[in-house]
Amino acid sequence: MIRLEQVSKVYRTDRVETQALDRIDLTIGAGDMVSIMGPSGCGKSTLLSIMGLLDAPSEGRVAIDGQTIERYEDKHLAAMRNRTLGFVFQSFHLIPDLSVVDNVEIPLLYRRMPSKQRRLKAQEALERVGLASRLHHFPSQLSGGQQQRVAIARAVVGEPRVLLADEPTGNLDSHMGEEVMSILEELNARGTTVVMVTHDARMAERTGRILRLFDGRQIH
Amino acid sequence: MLRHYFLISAKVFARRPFFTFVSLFGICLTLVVLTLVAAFLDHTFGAVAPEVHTDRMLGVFAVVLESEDGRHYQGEASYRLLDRELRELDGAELVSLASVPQSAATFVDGRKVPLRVRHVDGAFFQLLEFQVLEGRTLTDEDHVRAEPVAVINLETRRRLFGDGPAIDQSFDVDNQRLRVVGVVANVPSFRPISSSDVWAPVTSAPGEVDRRGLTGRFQAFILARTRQDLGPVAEDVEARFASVDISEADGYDRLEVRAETLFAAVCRRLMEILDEDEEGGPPPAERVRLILAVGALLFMALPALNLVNLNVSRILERAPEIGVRKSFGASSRALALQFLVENLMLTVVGGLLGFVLAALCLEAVSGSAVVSYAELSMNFRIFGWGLGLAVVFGLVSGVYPAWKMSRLHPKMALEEGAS
Repeated sequence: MIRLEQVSKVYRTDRVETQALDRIDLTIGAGDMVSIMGPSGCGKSTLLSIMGLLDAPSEGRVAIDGQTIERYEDKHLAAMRNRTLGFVFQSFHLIPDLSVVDNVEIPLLYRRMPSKQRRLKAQEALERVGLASRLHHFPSQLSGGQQQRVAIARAVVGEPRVLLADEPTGNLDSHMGEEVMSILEELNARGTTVVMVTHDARMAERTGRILRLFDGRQIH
Repeated sequence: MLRHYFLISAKVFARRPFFTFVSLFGICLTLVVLTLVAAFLDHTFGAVAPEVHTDRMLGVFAVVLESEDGRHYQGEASYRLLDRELRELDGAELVSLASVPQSAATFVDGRKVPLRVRHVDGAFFQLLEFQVLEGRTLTDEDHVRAEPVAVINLETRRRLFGDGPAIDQSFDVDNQRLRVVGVVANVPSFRPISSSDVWAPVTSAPGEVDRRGLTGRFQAFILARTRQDLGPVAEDVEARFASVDISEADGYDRLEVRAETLFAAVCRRLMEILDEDEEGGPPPAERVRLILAVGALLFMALPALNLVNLNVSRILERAPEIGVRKSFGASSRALALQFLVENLMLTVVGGLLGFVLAALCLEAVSGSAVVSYAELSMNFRIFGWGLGLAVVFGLVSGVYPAWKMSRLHPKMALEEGAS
């Protein structure tokens, strides 16, 4: 499903060169649930960004869903992200000007799906995360856990094969974190590949595989 | 997709009332000022009744006399001079001589009523198309027979005769008794060729026709047969006056007379006042047109620059949204389009508000005593240009921020939001 070969990432400024990732080899199969752990600054989020095609590697090759990404052209990457990948962020990143249902519709918008069909799918996604009654609320009217559930609904509404979650429970208390983790497990049980960055060892233990990073290197 | 863009634009505008207000205010103010200036220019120089033939009309608005010892006169000519030199002009359909309006007064029930009186020949009312409300206008016969008659405007009719009959009523002005033969609609005071309160035959004014000398208080208006005749007619006028005997010009050595459009005359006078009357340069009218066009463009550029500035500053504020949209499949092009739609929407709303405000302002000016008898109306052509330019500037002012926004790296944009 996701294959990384000798992927390195170097951030350069005029004076400083920072090696964020160093020759990562990684294969994640369809339906896997993988967590990435490591101390702050070890390259977890960078790795997730490269898997999510939000950033390009300095070296190495990335293949998603059997397709090697050779040309990092904006339009091509946008289409890949839209069809294959879904994102959940630590700080939710809901658009405050839009209602819950409008936020969830965003990925479908870029598929040029008719508005009625878009609305129907967004409602279904919100039902799956237990927020069918909050369609027309705004993000600011929801709790942190509810906002993250909206973010998950947005990530899965387009039925992507891969869900990339960057510390999805990082900003939530244990109860809400548990709720969100259960939803991710449920999605994985239905066949969605889930890759999750986390600091929380308990959450990581619940995934089938843990990938540990240290100073940009994969330690096992 | 567009519905979504409109929706989010409306929400963005509602959520940022100060930004929305500043942007709309800039666009509105620009369009209102442009429309008002255009309305004034149009009503002064455009083809508006009674001056409906401005496209083929020339005027001899002033004569210039100069002496070797540096004396200079610029003012109206005598009736006799114009009558002698201009009556038979090739290419002219009509030539009319008329005085500039003179301040005068009459008395009604012991109350002084100030009036502007213009003495005209028989061709004046043929050359201009006044709206006749009662009776008739002045004719060649009135002129030839030196009839002591007058045409008055509606406001003068109201002030002199109230609700009673006006036709065949008489009034005294400048020691002359005039009989009213017609009432015409009011003409705004910024129409310098036609505007007045009273029009009387020049022949009825004692001594006016036979007054000697080159200077006086008359102007000539020439209606060319076609627009193509304007140039030859103007040249003919200049040639005729070049050979005028100026011995009766009280020591002046040189006479210069031009036949030109009202706009050209005003522009030339303006350039003379500004001391910009360059020999050999482009004609003053061309220079004024250029100045007006550049002024309008600069005036339009101000809200555009304001929008660019505001939009660029908003980019960082909306960086997380950009990051999210990119993460979920928005291409740079789609994001740029979204931002352009937002800008365009703001511009169009500002334009429509500007339209309403401009209409209200024009009505207010027309209803006030700022300009006598003003009936300013919306010039849709100018407004259309203004709105079109505003839309263009809306697009231009949106392109740079949209391009800058669409270039944001999704990861950086998301981190910006997270921080």
